[in-house]
Amino acid sequence: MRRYRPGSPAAHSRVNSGPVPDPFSLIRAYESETNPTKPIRPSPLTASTIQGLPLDLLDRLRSFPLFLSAPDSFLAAIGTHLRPQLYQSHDYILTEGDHAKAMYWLVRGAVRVTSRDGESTYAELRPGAFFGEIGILMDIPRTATIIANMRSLVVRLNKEDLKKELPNFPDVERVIMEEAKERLSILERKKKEIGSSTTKEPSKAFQRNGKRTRDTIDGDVEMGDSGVLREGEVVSAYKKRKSPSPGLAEAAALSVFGSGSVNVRLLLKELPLFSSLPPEILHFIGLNAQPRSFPPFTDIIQQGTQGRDVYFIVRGEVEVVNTKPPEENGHATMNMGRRKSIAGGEHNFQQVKARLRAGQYFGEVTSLSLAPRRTATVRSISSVECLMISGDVLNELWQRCSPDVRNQVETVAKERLEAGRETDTQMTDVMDSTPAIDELAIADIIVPRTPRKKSVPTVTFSETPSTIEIPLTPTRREEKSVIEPYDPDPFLNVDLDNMRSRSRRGSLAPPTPESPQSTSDDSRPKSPSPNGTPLSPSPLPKHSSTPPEPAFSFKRPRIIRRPSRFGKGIFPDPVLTVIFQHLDVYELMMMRSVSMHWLKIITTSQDILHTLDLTKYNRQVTDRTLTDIICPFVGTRPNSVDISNCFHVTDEGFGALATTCGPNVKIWRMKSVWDITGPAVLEMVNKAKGLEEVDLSNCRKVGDNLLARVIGWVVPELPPAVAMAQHAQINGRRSFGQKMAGQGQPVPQPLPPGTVVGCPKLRRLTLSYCKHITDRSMAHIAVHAASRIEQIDLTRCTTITDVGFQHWSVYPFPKLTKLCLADCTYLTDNAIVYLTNAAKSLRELDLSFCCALSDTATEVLALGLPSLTHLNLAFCGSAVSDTSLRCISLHLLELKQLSVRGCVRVTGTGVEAVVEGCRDLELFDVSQCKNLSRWLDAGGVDAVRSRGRIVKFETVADGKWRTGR
Amino acid sequence: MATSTEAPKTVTLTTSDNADIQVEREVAERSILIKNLLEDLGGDSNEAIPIPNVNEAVMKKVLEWCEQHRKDPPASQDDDSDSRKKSTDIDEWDQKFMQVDQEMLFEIILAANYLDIKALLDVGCKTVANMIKGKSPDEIRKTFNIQNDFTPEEEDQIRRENEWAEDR
Repeated sequence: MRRYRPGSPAAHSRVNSGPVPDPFSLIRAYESETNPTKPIRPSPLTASTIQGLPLDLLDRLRSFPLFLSAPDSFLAAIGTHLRPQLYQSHDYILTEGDHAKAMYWLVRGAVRVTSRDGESTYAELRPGAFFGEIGILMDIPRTATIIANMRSLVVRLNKEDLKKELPNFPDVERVIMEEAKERLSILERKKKEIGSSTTKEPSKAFQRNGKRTRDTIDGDVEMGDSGVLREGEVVSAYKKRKSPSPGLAEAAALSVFGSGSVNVRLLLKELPLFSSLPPEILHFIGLNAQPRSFPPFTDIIQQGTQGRDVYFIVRGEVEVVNTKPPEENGHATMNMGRRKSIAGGEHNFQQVKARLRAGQYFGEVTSLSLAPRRTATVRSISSVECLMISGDVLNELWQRCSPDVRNQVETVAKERLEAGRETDTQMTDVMDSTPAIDELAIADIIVPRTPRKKSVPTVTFSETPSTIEIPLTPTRREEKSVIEPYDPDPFLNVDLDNMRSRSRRGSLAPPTPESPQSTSDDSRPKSPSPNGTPLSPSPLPKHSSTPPEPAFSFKRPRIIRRPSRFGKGIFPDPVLTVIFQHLDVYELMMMRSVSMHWLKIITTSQDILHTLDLTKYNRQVTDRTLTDIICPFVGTRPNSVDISNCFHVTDEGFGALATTCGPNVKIWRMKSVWDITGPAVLEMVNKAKGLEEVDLSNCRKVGDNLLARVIGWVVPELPPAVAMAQHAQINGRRSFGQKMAGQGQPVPQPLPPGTVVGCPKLRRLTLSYCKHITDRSMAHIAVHAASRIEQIDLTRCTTITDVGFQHWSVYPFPKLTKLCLADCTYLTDNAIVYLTNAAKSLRELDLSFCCALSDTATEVLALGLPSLTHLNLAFCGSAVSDTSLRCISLHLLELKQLSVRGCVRVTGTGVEAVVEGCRDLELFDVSQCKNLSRWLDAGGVDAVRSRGRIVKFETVADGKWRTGR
Repeated sequence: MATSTEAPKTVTLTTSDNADIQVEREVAERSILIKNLLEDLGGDSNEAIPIPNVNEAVMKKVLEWCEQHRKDPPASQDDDSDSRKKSTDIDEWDQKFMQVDQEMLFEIILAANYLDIKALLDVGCKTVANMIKGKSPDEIRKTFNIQNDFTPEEEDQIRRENEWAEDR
């Protein structure tokens, strides 16, 4: 790629080493021109030839693809319109669905691209990134929300300013116009494609398929002819999406073409095949390229067929499959025979030869007439969008351009073909006889063959990295420059995108409490509310929905008379105690009024009230209730406290409860009690030294520092400096514990060695929806709690990445038997490799919605975690295929429950293999597996039963009814 | 243990109304009381064991339960959270078993308490707990034959403390 960047080295050093720490100088530097009241103090950055435009900013401008070849004068003109804006941490810069008025470059700080509710982060942007350009260029509402992670400086270019300048620069206008036309033509073809795929009239179809598509089509690029960006009418009619519609169709319709994140020209240029073509030819190709999208698990090209179209993957993944039986093909692979016998009667074995990703292409072997027919089947793994260039277009292309170009292209292709031969070891035998090259692109891929055949369960990591890097930007290669034009489009990850509409669950709101006494309302004595009771609102401003509490203080009943013998009833005390063990706290309070005898037992027996479960009364539990009534009543009796969803509770009541129950408590659950601050939790932990299980789900204030203190550590014997050095060695980072100790103590006096901080017995952790938990916590858990942790639930801890599990891999987790990673969408195959190294005795693993995993992950865990009894792979579409199921069937022999719900690549072959291999299987969830319907319809379930296997199949339909097709 | 006849060893229990009930020893030993007694008596005494607090009808019912649960593993000693299930968790057979009139239910509970059959006592008490949940103190008093010995002031005091969980 030709990137024109005058004076960039100087700019780079500045940007990197950052001798300009003060962003304000930057602001002044170019505010001075338009704002004379500001002091004119030239920034060191204004070394550019362009007046008033700092160099790094110039670079940033140029990093925007559409301005790539623009002359300096244009950039200068644009530069005069740039407005700096400073955002504080957590400020919203853009909101999804709003009208687009400007685009932005990030100068300092960091921002994140999030869903509308800010709950899930799609990407983080670093300085140099631009965002918001889709909205103004395509004239569509914002496609994502951008929130400042820290104090961030952005420069802003208003839409009006851009359109004011464009007419003065016909060259730039033409470039943008061409790009726009290319996008437009692609969009139009996209429109046709969608239109023809539905029988309904197009407009309706679009409405149903997804607003975004409709909007982009109707409101799309206007700048082509007039050079004017104007608000489309339709855009104003755009309704903000309150919640994502669940239809699968929408996900399919959310096209990268539609969202405009594809720079067609750049895309074409990046393909080695076209890298040397002149712009006009590229424009021709761009205009004629047809967008094609394929649902998951669809054959795009079939082996043996004819066709000369070339496909460029824009989004998604495909696999290259050799579908021919080995006899025909001459491929006598050893493993196949083994596989075959195991799968039992399986006839359609398919050999996966390669996986191709965005930016790669396939199909040009035949189109360059290097092979007579398609040499392999190419099938989509996830939903795939391609640019297709038809054979005719290519023909015309060869005619238009000089023969040199064609020769060059062919030479390149042949070179790659040769390279492909060398890298693909499986093919070396047959290569010389037949030119059965699968794809040229093979050379491009570092073929991620899984270490499937290894008998040792320890999976080394050496081979996987190549598979791990999912390109975040579908179209651009890794930029080597310092300034990374990081495309902030939220639809970076196909799978994420697919999941988004389906699985976006907001944070767990406390459930609307249905009347807890719904069944018993009538029989419950409705005490006549004391009429004279003065009700005044609580003096403290509490949770907005916290009801006012009675202001009078409750008096303990001081009933000191001896109970009469008539109050005893028929049961002796031990029996009464057993009965009372089965009643909850409120029921017991009610029972107190039966008789003096009951009151005495209920208030004094140490054998009851071991469990304090207030979830049923979550709506009624307030600070005052806890402090004045519940705590005095229960005393130190509970060893299990559950205040989940008691959202009125704040630190005050929480503290009282912790003080009362702390000493004896072993289980503490406080899911979604989100007003509790870190110090309060810390206080509780300090009192509850015997804590074994804690549930901090969805507690907003829980972060790394707090969690570290909860999990705790033992102050080492060594002097802190040495300890720190040692920790740093082990950990590869700063010693977390030491740092914490330093912060936590008001007096910076080190704790004496051997002091136990936190809860040394803690072994079960539930941290779901704690999005502030990062890899640091993972490191802390690994260093200080690896030997005692039994269960961890990290559902939707989306901030945890592979790095966190890398820390784990160094430490054995001998007791860890249950791990839930549902919705941890950023985890890749790497994490699974690390995990298999750490927790070999894992029995239950939940990976549902971990859509970044590939087949490799499944195979790795099948090899590395032989004790698994429960495995949930629901909606891990790209990790579950017949091949990986076969791997499961070979190695996970103790499996009892398996879920592959929503994995479209599953067919009867894989299911049969699992049933055959896993003899202990009890429950197999194959719901929503589209491509299994044939097997199901053919009576597959009954066939399994008739073989005497008692496997329960979950087979919920695939939800076609939702899309209305 | 000396005789290894095919027929399982039996014991005879004499109930409060002087009825003799023959029952397999394994079944009878679900009762810790009987088990301890048999151990104290040693070996193969064929003496009938008097159970003075339980009548024949109730004893038969209790033994029916013991028969059903003869193979149950001994309850784990540690009173962890798992064993402390919700009172609604009663297995199906037990639920049916407990569908008797209230008098019988109470008799079974008292017998289980006396005979020291913890699991049966638990099931019975769970049933009772479910029964009295949400009932008014008056209804409960009636059920258990309890007289109200609170003064109205005292009653009112407790009632006020219970108001927090009512809908506001």
